Parts: sequence; structure tokens; C-alpha cells
Amino acid sequence: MSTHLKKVLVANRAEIAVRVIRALRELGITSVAVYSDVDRVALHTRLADEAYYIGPPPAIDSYLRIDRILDVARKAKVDAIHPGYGFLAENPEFARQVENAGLIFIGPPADAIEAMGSKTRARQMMKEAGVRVIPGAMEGITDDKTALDMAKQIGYPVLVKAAMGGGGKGMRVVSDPKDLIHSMEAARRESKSAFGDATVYLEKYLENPRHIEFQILADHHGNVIHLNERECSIQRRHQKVIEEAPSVIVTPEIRREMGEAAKQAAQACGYRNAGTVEFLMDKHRNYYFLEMNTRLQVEHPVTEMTTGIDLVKEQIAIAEGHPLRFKQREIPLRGHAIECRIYAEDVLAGFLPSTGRITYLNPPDGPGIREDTGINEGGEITIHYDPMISKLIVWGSDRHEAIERMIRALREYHLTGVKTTIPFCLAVLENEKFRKGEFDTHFVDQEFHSTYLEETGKQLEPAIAVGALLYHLRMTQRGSLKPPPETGVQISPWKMQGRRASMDRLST
Amino acid sequence: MLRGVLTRQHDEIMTYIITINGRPYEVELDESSPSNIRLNGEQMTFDMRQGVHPQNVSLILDNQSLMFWIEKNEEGYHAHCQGRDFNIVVEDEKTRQLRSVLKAGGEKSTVSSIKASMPGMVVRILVQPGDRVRKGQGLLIVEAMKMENEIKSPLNGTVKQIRVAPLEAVEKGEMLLILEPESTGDEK
Repeated sequence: MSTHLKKVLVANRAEIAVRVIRALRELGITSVAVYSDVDRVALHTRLADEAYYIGPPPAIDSYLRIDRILDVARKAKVDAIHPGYGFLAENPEFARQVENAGLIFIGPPADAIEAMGSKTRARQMMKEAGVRVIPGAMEGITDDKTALDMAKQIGYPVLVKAAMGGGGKGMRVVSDPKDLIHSMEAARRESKSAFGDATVYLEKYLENPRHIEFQILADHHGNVIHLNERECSIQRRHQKVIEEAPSVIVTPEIRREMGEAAKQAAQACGYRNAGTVEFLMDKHRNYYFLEMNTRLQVEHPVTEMTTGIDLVKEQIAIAEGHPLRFKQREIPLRGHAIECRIYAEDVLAGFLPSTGRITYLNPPDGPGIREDTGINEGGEITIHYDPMISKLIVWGSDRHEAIERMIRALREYHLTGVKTTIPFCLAVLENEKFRKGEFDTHFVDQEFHSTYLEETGKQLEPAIAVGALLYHLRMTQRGSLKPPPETGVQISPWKMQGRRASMDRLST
Repeated sequence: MLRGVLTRQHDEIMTYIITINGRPYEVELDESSPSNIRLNGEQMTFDMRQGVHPQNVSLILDNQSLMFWIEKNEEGYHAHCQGRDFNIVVEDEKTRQLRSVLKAGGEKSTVSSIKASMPGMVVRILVQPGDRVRKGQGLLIVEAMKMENEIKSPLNGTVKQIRVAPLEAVEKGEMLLILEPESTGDEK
């Protein structure tokens, strides 16, 4: 019992909207974009077959407006909605309303989103399903005595976490029993204001964990497969910045075992479509369920590059009701892939967002390079949305080749108008410990020093000095040197600049 | 060429100091030999071309080929080359001498204004007028792109004036706060 989708609304913006629109186009499905005022000329708006205006720039007035998105869905007569990631992707209410409107939600059932949205409920479910969770409380803790007893039992340091939290908010590490009560209260306040829920709980704090996650696919016929792991331990401010597949520390045996655990996790919550089961792994390679992300992940391309499977197309096939096209043993693992998230941020100013217009954009290409972006030259990075400009993904026959290829690609990446994390990504890829695979989620805090960025380009400085002076002279005091008068003959700008240059030299 | 001969009489070698990430490089231009320069005393040949965007530069310096992007900014120039960023100040000898004289003369700014580096909203103000602050101390928190960013003091000093209020929207470059730097003599 399957349907064929003919028209799909993409309830998102930027690179992920572009990514989904591209898959729809390749499948012959009509794509519908939605856009806010500032996104009128954004790539996703221009690339889609149809585009509908949904409101002012703040997401709360546009991309988070369920009513407006459903209005567009009705007006455009779409069959289904793809939520992308972020915005409404993990909002069970949205999934429910889409289904109530008689449309297909390209994602998991609302109940699964809801169950995995609560960290404590997810922990209970996983424990029942036999998936190892980090030792600690299975429900919210309200009284001091329970908290102190629990912390003593699992051993300090402990981590206070918000049940409905995410992104590091409402989270506290406690090493000393006398700080526990105070920290829990602070976490409650933070959680209340950030997530509208004050429930906090405790779990054992893992000292030097690595973040390993498994991509899973589940159909409507009870089949679940995993598509291997991704390692996402390179994070700053609890946000992933560089991801890779496979992980250097996952052996085939561990992969099999963790993959099974991930499938159990998905089955336990009645999961369907694409999802990710996240684990933390300690230095003895013990792994624990962390959470399940009920959507397509930002870093999904590294899985696509190493398996050759287009995850968005699989999402659509699942939503159409088709059984999975692959059996577990048919899932390949070929070579190595790395993704660098290119953010508009000033690394030297502590990763402060950098807004502005992209004045020049020339992304790298050549063998093994994929760039997923939602912006092009002239596009603007505004305060309203996430400052991610693009995702640069490389594939290599092994990890070494992938690293060298990524360094090559980052060096070829020319983008100006805003500051970017390109120099930071280079610093990570050039780091000895990263190259050896010896790292954990504290890598950026411990290994990255901003002085590295000032020292590392040293050998280029003499030539840059000459170039800067010549540029300065050409653009300022000899600025009177206008291009030669129109001759009516088309000449290449490079040639013209060459002529200007030679005139420049002669005219002194 | 006659013109070359003429210029040679009153114009000879121009010396420039290019400072990149705090390191100085001396570049000399000899107007009589237009494709040569001296970099830190060493003679080199160059050929520079620009693209459709004039900021897109290709330089061949003694047969070393280098492609970079360069833009003017408040301090001087910013270049991006091979994934690295370079902050550049270009000065001729005279300007540099003048600047060092001014510096030696104790010409110091008496106030320092803290400006918003991006548009956003003031979430909280962590100091009050009259407060003494240390370099690196948080002054206020501005929210942009769903992230809270603490703006830190660039120097030791005293808060003279606060120009914004909590929940106020600020534009890029807008003045947030004025600091009076501590006179260097006090520093132990």
C-alpha cells in the first residue's frame, strides 16, 4: 500500500531546504518553498518550483508558524511536508497537525517525536528495551535528599540536566556534594526560561567522552536498518563543527553491537523514517544511549558519501509507504568522509556570529568534494537565523586522504564579506591529535588556541605584504588610473587588469 | 623613455612598512624598475593581476604563484589566502615615523567606546557607571542569532557611561558603553 508523492512543501530554509528541493527535483516531484521577507532572494526560494511568502524575518513569525505553513500546503495542494532539521522538525504538534490536515509528514510519528523529546522518558524507554543508558535518575528529581542520595550512589562528578533541554542549556557539572542543590536550582531556572519546563535530573558525568551516533532508517513494515556511525566529537559550545564517518575507534564488532542497540532504540519508540541514535563512549569503549534525534541530521552527508545512499530520497520512499530497499548486510561502508560546517563567525572573538553580505563566493571543487549550501554571492547572513553558511564534505579512500583533501578544499575556499570558521577548521585538521584520532568532546577547549591562527600563515606573509602594497597603490593614489576607455571590443577582465597593470608601471 | 629619466631625478626609492598580524615587512619600490621590488632587502620580480572583482588578486612573485582576496577595512586591509586570514596595515616611511613620534609623545586616547560588533538585542548589563573593570571582564550581554554573547572589556579602566538599556535593539557599530582607560602608570 503505497502512494506516489507528486508535490512536497519544504518547511525550512537555507542549505537543508536546498538539499531537499534537489532530491525532490531528481525524483520528479514538484517542490514548494516558503520564505520570509529576508529570504525573498535566498537560494531555496529561487530554486523551488513554487514559492510562498509566510511572514516577517523572525522565525517565530514565519518558519515557526504552523498555521501559515499549513495554509500554504492547502493553497499549493501538496501531498506531503518535509520539515528539514531545526524549526518545526521535532515539534510533535506540527507532525500531528500535518497528519490531521490529511497530509503526509516526511518524518517519524508524532508520538515518537514526543517520547524522544523528553530525556527522562527516552531513558526509561531505552532501559526497558535493554539499551544501556548513562547511570543516573530515570525521572525528574524534585527533593534534595533524593538528589544527594542519587549523586552519592552514582559517584561524583555528576551532570545535572534539564529533561526537556538541549544545546547545553540547563546543564551543570557538579564535582562537590555541597554544590549540588544550588546547581540543580540554577539548572531548573535556566530550563524553565529556555524550555518552559523546570524538570531536571541527574546522571553520571562521563569525563572524556566521544560522541558516536548511528543513522537508522525504519519503514512502515517493521523493518529497521542502520547505516553505520558518525563521529561528532569536535564541538564548540556543545555544537558539532566537524563530523566524520566512520569513527576511528569503532571496530566492526563494536559497530555491529552499537548498530543493534540503535535499532532496538528505534523499535522501542515505534520509530519510522530517518533518525539518529546518539551515544557517548568512554575511554574504555563503553557506550551509553544519549538521545535520539527524530529528524534528518545536519551531518547526514558523511553517511551518504560512505554508503552511497541518498537519505532524503529514502525518507521520501518510506513516507510513500515503500518497504526499505536495502537489507542490513547490503549497507556498504566505503572509504572515509568528513564534513566541516562553515559558520559566519569570528573565531578570534570567541566564535561570535559575524553578520553581513557575502561579497565574493568561490567554493572549492575537484575530486571528492561536495558542498551543501543555501547561500550564494550577494546573499546576506542576518541575525535572524543560524549563521551556518555551508557544509563542506569530502570523501577519500581512507581517513588520511579525506583529511588531506579537506585541507586542500578549505584552502581553495574563497568567501568574503563575513568572517568564517574556515581558519578554525584548518587548525583542527592540521592538529596532530586529531590526525591520530586521539580526541574527545573537549578537543576544541583543550587543543585549540587562537594564537595558532596568527602563527600558521606566517610563511605566506611576505608575499601577502607585497600583494597588499601593490593593491593599496593601485587602488588609492593611482586610483586615477581608470580602466581604458570603452573600445567596443570584449576583452577578458583579467586581460584588462593586465593592461592596466602594465600601464600602471609605465605611468610612473 | 624620457619620462623615466625625468622621474628618476626627484623620485627614487619609496619604502613602505607592511604590518601583518603584528609583524613588519619592509617593501621598497624603485620607480625606475617597474617589475621589481625589494622585500626585506631582497630583490624580487612581480606580476599582479586582478579579476572581475578587483579584490580578487593573483600575484606571481619570483615565480611563486599566490591567489588571494583583499578588502579594505577600518584598520587597513584584510586578506584571505589559503584558508588563512591576514590583518594588514600599509604605511609609507613618513606616516610610520609620524605615528611613532605621536606614540612616544604620550598621545593616548582618554576614552574608549565599546561598539556593537553586530546587530542584536541587549539582554543584560553587567556593570554600572563608575565601576572599575579589568581587561577581559564581561560588560554586557547581547543576543544575536539566538546566541548570547558576552562583550568583554578590552582594557583596564572605569565605566564612564552606559548608552543602552536592557531589551534595547542595537545596530552594528552602535555605541554601547564608554570606558575610561586606566593610565598606564598605575599598572604594576
